[in-house]
Amino acid sequence: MLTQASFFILGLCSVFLSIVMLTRKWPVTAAMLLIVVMMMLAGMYGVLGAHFSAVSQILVYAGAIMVVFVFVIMLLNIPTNELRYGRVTLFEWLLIFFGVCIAVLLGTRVGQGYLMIESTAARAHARAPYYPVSFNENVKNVSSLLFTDYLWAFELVSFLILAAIVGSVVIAKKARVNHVNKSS
Amino acid sequence: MSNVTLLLLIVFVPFAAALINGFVLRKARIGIVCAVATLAVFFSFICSVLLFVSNSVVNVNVFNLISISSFNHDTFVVPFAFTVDRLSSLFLLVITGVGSLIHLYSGEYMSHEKRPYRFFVYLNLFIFSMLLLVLGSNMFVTFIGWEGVGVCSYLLIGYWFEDVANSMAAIKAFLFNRIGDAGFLIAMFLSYSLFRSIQYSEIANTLGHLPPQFFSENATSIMLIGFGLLLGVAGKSAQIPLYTWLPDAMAGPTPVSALIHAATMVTAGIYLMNRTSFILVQSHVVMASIAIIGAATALLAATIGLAQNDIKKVLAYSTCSQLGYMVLACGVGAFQYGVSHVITHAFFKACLFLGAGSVIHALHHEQDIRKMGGLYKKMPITTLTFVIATLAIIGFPGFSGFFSKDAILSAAWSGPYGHPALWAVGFVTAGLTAFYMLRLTWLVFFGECRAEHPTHIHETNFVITLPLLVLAILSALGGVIVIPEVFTGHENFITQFLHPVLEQAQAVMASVPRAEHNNAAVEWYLMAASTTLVIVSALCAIFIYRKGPEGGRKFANAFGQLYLLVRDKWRVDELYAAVIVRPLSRIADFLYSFVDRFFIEGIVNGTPGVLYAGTGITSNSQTGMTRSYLKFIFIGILLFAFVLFI
Amino acid sequence: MSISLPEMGIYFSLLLFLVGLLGIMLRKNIIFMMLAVEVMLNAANLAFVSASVLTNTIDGQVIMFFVMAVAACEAGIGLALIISLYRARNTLEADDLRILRG
Repeated sequence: MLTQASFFILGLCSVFLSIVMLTRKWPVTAAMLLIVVMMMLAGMYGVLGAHFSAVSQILVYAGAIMVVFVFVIMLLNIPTNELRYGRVTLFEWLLIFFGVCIAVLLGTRVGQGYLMIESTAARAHARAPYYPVSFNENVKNVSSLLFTDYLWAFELVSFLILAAIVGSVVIAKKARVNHVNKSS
Repeated sequence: MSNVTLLLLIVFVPFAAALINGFVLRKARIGIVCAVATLAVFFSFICSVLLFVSNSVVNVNVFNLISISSFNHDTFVVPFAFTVDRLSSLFLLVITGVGSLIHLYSGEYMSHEKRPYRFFVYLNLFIFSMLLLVLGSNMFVTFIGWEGVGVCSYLLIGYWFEDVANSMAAIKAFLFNRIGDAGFLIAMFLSYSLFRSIQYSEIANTLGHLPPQFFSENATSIMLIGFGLLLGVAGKSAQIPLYTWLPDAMAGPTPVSALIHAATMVTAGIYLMNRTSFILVQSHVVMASIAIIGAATALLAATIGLAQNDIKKVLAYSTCSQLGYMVLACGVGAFQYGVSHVITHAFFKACLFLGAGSVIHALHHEQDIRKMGGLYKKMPITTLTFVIATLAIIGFPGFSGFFSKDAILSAAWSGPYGHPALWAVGFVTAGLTAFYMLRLTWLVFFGECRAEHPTHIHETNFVITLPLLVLAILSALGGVIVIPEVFTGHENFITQFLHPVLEQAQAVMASVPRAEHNNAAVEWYLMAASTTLVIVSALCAIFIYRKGPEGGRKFANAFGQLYLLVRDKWRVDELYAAVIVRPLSRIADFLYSFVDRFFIEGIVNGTPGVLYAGTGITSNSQTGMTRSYLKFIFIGILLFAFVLFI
Repeated sequence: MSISLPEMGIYFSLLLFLVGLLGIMLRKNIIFMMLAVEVMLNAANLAFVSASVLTNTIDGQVIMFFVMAVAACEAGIGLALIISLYRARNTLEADDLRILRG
């Protein structure tokens, strides 16, 4: 009972805070709020039993990515008079309303069947699912899949991160003016 | 060489020469270009002589132009076919013979042109079209040649197109020809609908075997065919009402006037009437109209020719008048005398035009006869040939014109459709012809020299004088083909020769009630009367103009207003302009300003205008802002969801 | 409520995703758009984890790990782009970047 209530509160708060976050004027405030949202999400992962996910969420997302965000926002040094609140026009209100309706419709009526029923066709080509022996050893369970079945993806992601590092350094460099070289 | 090969060579060698001149020899000197062109036509002339001598009928089918089979169980085939019979071979000789002489002449006359190849290409194309015209075995091929000579005459009249007046004259010629073409086309369509064929031999065959009630039932259609053909003849051979283009066509170079308007194109009408004689004689109204139009044109043109001061204009009206004679001959049923006058007229008129060209060339393009005179000392050969040709045209006894014109006049008196009134018109015209031709000859060649630079005039070289001499000889002696019976005792050559061609028409005409057949006495009287009138008019002309053009002034003033009217060509051009041209241009103006500008340009400019507006609306969606793109994506997802899940 | 935990998680992920989507569409500032993208990615992660708990397998959490890595790369490059854009154009409004206007 407690788990359910806490999960529910965490979820509501995360949705509410993200709405709040997106209506802020100052970017740093928004970044802080996003960190809080991520903490709440990490809590939700924890309640669900995905401990590894929760910890990695805090370590990576809130600890690294958002830090980079905050650094960059501070680096940009935006003059305050350029910050604005967002304006929502009537057209956009209509979009929001219909969007929410469709989403709720999708979630409550349509998605039911796909969630609950495991389709037999997918099963036929899938490898046998790994049902972990115990759900208290979450890290062991995750790593046993990560380094065996998903090893290929793991290595590729490391390449991806390398490319992203190099790319961001190159993009963010100040453009240097090419002086005429007299030699060669 | 077989006759078929000869025939194909005759037709296609000038065409090949035109192509060679036009594409290969563009930069060559005029000598080479002229040589190629002249040799081609001369080669055709040799082949025509061979064909004439062999005296056979040759049919060649080159390919099928139109071939529609099983259309209402009826096949419609129009072959591109040539037929040579006696009529065509005569015309072939005239066309290629006189044509080659004129080609030679133009080599010297056009020697100061830049880009001379153009002239000879057009000349060869003209010969080619004229050959198609006379060799066609059905109306379609004849019409191709008919149109072709119209186009080539437009190109040649407007040869010096830098001067706008020349281009306008060329357009005028082409337009009047076009009206005649419409008549020809109508005749072609009607003859197909009546006789199911447009091939001359087939139509003649059909006509020969039809029952008499066919003619009484379809009399109107046959009459309309005749009138259509008459309209075509009027357009091409410059008869009333479509003759006004011929004097204006003198804007072209003189060899053009000689070839087209004296010897060949204008005689296409006479050829057509001979070809379709078996249709024309079926209707009395048509024959009468032809005769009346021919006579009227002869008289009208002769009167205008009395008062002209440009040497080429006088000759142009003389051509028009002589064509009237030829048409008159066909109209009274003596088709063969129309042909004989064509032949003799080709000789002496070409000689006259070429002589005029020689004079113009020597006087550095002076064409006003009031500024000429006394040239007989400086240009003896031209004078001699011109005088011979003049004697031929007025019908001086012994020369070719005398025999052919006299044959026409006696046929007008007593031919199958003749009438003494027609003879009277021809008689008066002969007198007028003598008057103005002698006036011309005297003022140009004799008397005092009134030219501006009298010392530089001299005869040009043999290239000009050789054709003149040949044509003069022919004008003098060409009458042998039509010496009348009263001299020799038997039928003249031309009637005998063309009998197979015209016998069907003559059979029909034999059934027409006519005045008494000419006995020898009547013929002698008619001949004597016309000869007397001619000599008297000639002497009058020499007397009045003996001291130069002022002699004519008192003579002209005696006629007062009438003289002014005659000098202004009876104001026919102004009449046409006021009655036809001005209303048409007003209608065209209205159509342009209202219909064209509003409706058509509205549609044409409105279609892209609507497109612009539409694309303007849709291109506003490409804002370049990612946010709006996202909005559109979201809308798309919503729509998908609506469609898929509801 | 007899709704199970992971199912609720799915619903929350749906809501979060929607919020993030609306955030992108409705905010002009690029930084806020990037933050909204992060929200969307987090919603996807939540969906994955909830699905793995629902089906008693671990695959969803492994995938979530990868998604996180990719999100990190994307955030890094996006921020680098923002920096160079700010240096070039001196503006952080997405509406001012409309050279591709057609």
